[in-house]
Amino acid sequence: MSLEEIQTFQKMFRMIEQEVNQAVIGQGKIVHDLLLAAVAGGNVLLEGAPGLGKTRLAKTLAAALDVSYARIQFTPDLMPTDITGTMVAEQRNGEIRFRFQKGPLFHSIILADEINRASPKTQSALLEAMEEKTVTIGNETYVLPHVFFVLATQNPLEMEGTFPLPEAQLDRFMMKLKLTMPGMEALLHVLDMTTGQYEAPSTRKVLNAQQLQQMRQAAFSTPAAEEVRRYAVRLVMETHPEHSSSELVRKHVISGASLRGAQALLMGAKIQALAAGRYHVTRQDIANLAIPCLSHRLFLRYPGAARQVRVEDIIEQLVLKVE
Amino acid sequence: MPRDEYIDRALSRMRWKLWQNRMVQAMCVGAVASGIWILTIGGISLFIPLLYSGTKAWVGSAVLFGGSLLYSACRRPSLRDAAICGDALGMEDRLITYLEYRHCDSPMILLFIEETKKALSVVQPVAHWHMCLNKKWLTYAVILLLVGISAWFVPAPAREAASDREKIDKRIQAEREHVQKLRNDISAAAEIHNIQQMEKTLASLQGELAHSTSYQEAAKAVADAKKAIVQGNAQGSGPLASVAYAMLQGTDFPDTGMSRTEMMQWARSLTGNDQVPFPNGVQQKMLQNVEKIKKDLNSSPVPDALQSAYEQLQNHQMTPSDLEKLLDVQSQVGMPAPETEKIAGKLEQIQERLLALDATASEGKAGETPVSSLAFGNQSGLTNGEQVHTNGTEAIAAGGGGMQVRQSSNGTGGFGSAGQHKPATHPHNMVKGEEATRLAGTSSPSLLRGSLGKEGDIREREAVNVWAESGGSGPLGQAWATFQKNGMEYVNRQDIPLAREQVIEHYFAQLSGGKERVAGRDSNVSKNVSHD
Repeated sequence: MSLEEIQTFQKMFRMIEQEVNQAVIGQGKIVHDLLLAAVAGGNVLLEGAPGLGKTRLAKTLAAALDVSYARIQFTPDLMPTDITGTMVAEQRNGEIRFRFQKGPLFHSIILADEINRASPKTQSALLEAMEEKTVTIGNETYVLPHVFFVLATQNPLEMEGTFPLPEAQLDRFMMKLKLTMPGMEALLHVLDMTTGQYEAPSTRKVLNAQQLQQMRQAAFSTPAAEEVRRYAVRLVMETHPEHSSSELVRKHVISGASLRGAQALLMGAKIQALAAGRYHVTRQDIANLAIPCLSHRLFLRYPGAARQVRVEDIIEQLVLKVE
Repeated sequence: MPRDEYIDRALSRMRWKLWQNRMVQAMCVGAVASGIWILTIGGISLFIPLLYSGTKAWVGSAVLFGGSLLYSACRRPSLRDAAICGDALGMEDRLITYLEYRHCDSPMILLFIEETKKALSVVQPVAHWHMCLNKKWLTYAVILLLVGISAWFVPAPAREAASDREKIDKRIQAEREHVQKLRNDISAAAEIHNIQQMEKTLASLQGELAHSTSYQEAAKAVADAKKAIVQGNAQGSGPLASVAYAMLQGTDFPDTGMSRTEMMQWARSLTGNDQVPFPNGVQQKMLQNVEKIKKDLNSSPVPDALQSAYEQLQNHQMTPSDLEKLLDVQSQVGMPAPETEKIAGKLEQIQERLLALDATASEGKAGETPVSSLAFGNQSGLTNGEQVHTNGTEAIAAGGGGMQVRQSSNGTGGFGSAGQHKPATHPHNMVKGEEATRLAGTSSPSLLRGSLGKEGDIREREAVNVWAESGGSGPLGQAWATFQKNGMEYVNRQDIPLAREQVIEHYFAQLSGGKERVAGRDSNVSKNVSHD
């Protein structure tokens, strides 16, 4: 890793962020966090009402990164082989052979739209791909592209007939980002872009896969002091009711975040530090990523859920409490 | 190596400032602890005098304060502590990250160190560091110290009593050491008659002094010990050694362990003359005692001296001179040895010191010296008493009755701690008092000795010119009686220790006419002469 490569990290990050923000209006924080996950090689779960730009976000990101992109619409009848691929028989020279036909999973950026609509069997087909970047069909294991990134979406409003993601699968997402309605100005801009004569600029390819890899390597080498690492671990430990000093956690949380949560925190904080032009990680970087990285890893007891206790509120309290 | 001197220097300066701050905070904590300690000792000692000890309070507080300061001085903060402080002042975890990665050699670390230097020059945490005192602890410390110190000035009879007792214990302990020295001297002496009895008596005296709670009690113990030694020595010399004492039992004989000279003084005081027989009542009693002694001797031959005394008593012709002869005979068979006299003398010095200390303590309560008031003639009944007081040496009171009250001091004026008033009619005691009160090694002549002459008898030399002119004992006797009556009335009204009162009473009892006034001290006699 050379000095020039490290010094251009911020520049490259800003470029891609700018490019995506041109196409997705009013979701600057979401775009920033999404790029953090993308550079870190983590998967993201986008939650939001329909029409907020979840699909557009994924498509724009794929376009800006100059990597292959695939969209999978999850439906209740979707089978695992529909996403991983299947063996197909083909005849050649009078012989019938079976050939593996790769599924849509074999792309760099996967948009798993409405992932909670597919059956658990189909959802679990993604588990191996998301964690290990491989697909196993029969006795064969196929490696996915080096840059592999799953962007899953789900609608929090239509829960009837859906299959909520299991905890094991949720834990494999680096971040969970909640899209909210943008502001007035952003909406007006979107209207102008889509219904007026204003032509939205096309998304330029800013980075390629190799550059993304380099950025990832630079992020790995960012120094994080022991105090900062301990802070991340303390934060994760506080989410567990048996280790927590917080009354809210002990009362409402069944189980806390796993080690993946701490990994997500630290990795995201390193990329955030570099993106901000710093060459070290601070506790504030960790604190800023607490909600995106931990909110989908805490599970509330029924009484807490019934009282509409929010996981985000619990995490905010922990951030203020932990020193 | 990517270590940077600029950052290292900043961290060192930060560490030094942090160390100073910790020491100041430790001083606050130490001051609070000292205040609590002083307040505890001072407050509780108001009610429980056993806990009273000024030394303990101040030493304890000094130890607490110094200990906390020393503890903080020994706990030098680490560079990590300094880095944490610096990061809190705006460096955003840069310093702590620097400490961890300063030994790494990578492009990222190089960039990081450069960026940290820039941030350090902008933020300047060392310059913005301010000593932070815990105001709450400081306030507590000030309040506790003020209240604690004030508690020591609260008058408390219990504490004052404890303080007095502490002083008394110390002084009596000093006298115990004198007694121990005496014991050591006895052990080293070649021949001392009845040494075992003396050692036993002195050992017992040490024990009694250890348990004494007042000077009077200690002085009484010393007096008893002295009496036991003198009597024991005399008794150990054979039957005749105690004849004189046994003969005088039941008379007015004070029986305070007097030596031969004291006995003769007493005898002469009864008759006024060596050749004048004792009063009939006294002789009758002495005769009874001699008959008893003879009976006790059973079949043993009666010594000639005793028989002679018996015959004299039968004829009512026993005089002080005869008694002296009997004592001479007694000395041949064993009088108290010179060593015994020495030991008795030293014990008497100890007794006198203790009585003087008691008198000083009483003075503090009464507010004035009763005897000096007597000598000054401040009371209405003391028109004949007057004192000419010299500057801290000796004073002689000149009275119309020719009574002299002599006061010796150790140069401090009036009654010194080792000084004691002695009645003039006990020249032997007066000499000893002089020796007791004079500073060691002094060789200045004693007025008393000048007046004593060879015989050492003041009474003989202390003659009032007035009496000589008057030429008779009738007016003299009236003057003496009036003076004695007025004097004792005054004494009885004052808060004088019993032992001292007895001394004064005894003095009055010994007064007689025919005393000369000492030359040069009769400046006021002429006035009294005119009254007489």
